[in-house]
Amino acid sequence: VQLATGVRSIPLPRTSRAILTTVAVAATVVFVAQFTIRELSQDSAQFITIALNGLTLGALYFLAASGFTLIFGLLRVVNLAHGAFFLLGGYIGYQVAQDTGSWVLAALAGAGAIAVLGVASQQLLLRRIQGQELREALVTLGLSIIIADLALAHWGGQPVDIQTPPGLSGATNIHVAQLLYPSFRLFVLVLAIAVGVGLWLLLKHTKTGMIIRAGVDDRPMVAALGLNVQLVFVAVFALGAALVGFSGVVGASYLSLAPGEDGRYLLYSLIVVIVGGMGSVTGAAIGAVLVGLVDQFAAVYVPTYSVLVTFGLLVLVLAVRPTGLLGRAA
Amino acid sequence: VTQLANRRTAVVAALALFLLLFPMFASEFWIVSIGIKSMWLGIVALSLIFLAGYVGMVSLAQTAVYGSTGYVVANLTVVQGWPTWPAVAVAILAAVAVATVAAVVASRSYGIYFLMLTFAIGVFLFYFALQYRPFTQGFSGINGVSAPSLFGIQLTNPTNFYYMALVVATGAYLAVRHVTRTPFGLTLQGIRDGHERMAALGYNVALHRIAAFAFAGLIAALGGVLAVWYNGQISPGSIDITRIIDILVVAVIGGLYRLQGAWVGAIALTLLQAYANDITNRVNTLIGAVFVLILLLSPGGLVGIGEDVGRRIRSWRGRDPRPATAEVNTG
Repeated sequence: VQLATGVRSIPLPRTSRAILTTVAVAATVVFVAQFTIRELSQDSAQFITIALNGLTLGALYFLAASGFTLIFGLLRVVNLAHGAFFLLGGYIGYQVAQDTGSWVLAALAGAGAIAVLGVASQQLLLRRIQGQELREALVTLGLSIIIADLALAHWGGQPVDIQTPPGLSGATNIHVAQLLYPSFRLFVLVLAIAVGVGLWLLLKHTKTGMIIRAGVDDRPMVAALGLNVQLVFVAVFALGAALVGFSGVVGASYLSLAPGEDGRYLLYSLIVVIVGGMGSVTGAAIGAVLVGLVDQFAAVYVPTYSVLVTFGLLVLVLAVRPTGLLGRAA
Repeated sequence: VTQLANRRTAVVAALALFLLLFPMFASEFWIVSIGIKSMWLGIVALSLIFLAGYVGMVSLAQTAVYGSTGYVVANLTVVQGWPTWPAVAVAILAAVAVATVAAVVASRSYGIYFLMLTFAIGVFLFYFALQYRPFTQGFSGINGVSAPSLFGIQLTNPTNFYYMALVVATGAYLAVRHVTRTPFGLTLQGIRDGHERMAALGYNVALHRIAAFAFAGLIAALGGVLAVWYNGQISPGSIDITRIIDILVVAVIGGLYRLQGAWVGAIALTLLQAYANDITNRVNTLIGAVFVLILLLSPGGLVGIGEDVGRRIRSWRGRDPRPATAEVNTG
């Protein structure tokens, strides 16, 4: 088979590529606007409920994916044990909530335990093969089988969920649309915005954030400046893992936890960061909202094919921007 | 060197004899649960080792490919009542089509990005199989698939099935080995080592990677047909994350760069799955731990460890005509 000999893929000239992108984006905007207006005028309560479901689910996806993208951004570690961390954080939170009855304690325990686990796996396993991206990813995948299997042994196969905090267990009346919406889901949205703003402040306006950003751009240079890069790595891994553990507790209160859910959250975190651009926290926020909305609308309007529609979003974004919406070339 | 070649021929002949005579002395459990299962698992892992070792594409979408074959075979024969062989042909074509689409989506990404994208594709297909009930029958899947007969030979018989699996596995191995030695295969290895340079030389890198992925899809599809006959059913559970990891475990245990390693890894995994229950209830924990240990200790897997030991012994005896083991390209 000789495919080559002189055949070259001719890159599109910059202008025609820009025109194509503009047309694609414009067509999408027109379609979305038309769809929104039509559905809003027909059944506004249903439309707003789906939109809120999409937004709040996107908020949960953002919480989960932010830790993933943070760790990848600095350490270049694709943590495929991410879903298992999410599951375990949720289960630990569930245990603590059962024992103490406190949601806040459950959230702290989930975040703390996974932070410790994350640092332990980084120090004991990943550091030995640091810089070998593929091997690191595969090791975390192996770790995920072990965690998921042990969680199954300890907590069994039945779905569990965490009681939402007392003040948030009811529904909030959304007057504009005249509908009742679960308060906890709105709380998740607020939580995600708070975490997003917090991360943005940390990364852009503190000295630690400056070191982390410098480390993303040029690790050897940061080390040459006399900063302890390994310590920064540990801190970022701990923060990223804590976010994942925390989102596990939130996820267990929002929906429920069961064996197999680790795969779902890993998949959605991957899509969110691939769509948003690997390593970018802002990208993860945009990606999460997009994925959440597309997922929920597709689930209602094309139930048999909703998975394909979400996949279509991924393909579309990659076709227009191979590095994701806010991603930069590696 | 001729001495080495003779020894090699002897080893191959002994192996062939062993594999041919295996059903005569092995129990049915060994023929079916170890023999046949490692054959098809090895074929699927072979497609991954080819991609990882020769093209630098570590694909986690191979379960998606062999799963699509299984689903098409099961649906056409059990639900639609097609005769077996046309269904198999359509299924293999469908799997190659799935592989091509996956490759088109992922062909512009490399290394870790490629791994993530193919992983997403693999998990996607699992959820799609769960959701697309009209074709896949959802969670419970399609049951009652059985091996057909060929020229009057009933393949449901374990020994006959074993020989068929052996023939397919040998064919797949020879086909992949042949492809790696063609100009196309050499180009792929060039792409593995430096895709920018190959692009600069005028090669259409993306097209080559897509073609390689489609070829690997064909190999995985062969394993998929055997797998669905072996299991007698297919359900989303046959292509979930655990299965994705199983294929990866096989390839990594076997060493990600030796084609023969596929079956070494497959035998190791089937033995582990069959006998680990006697030691512990947590088979997956054990498999995960073995996987992590091999990754941390030896990039060449069991084959690599074996070669290492062999080289040490030879150099201790003061004669080693062979060059040192090549390093794994983790691209």
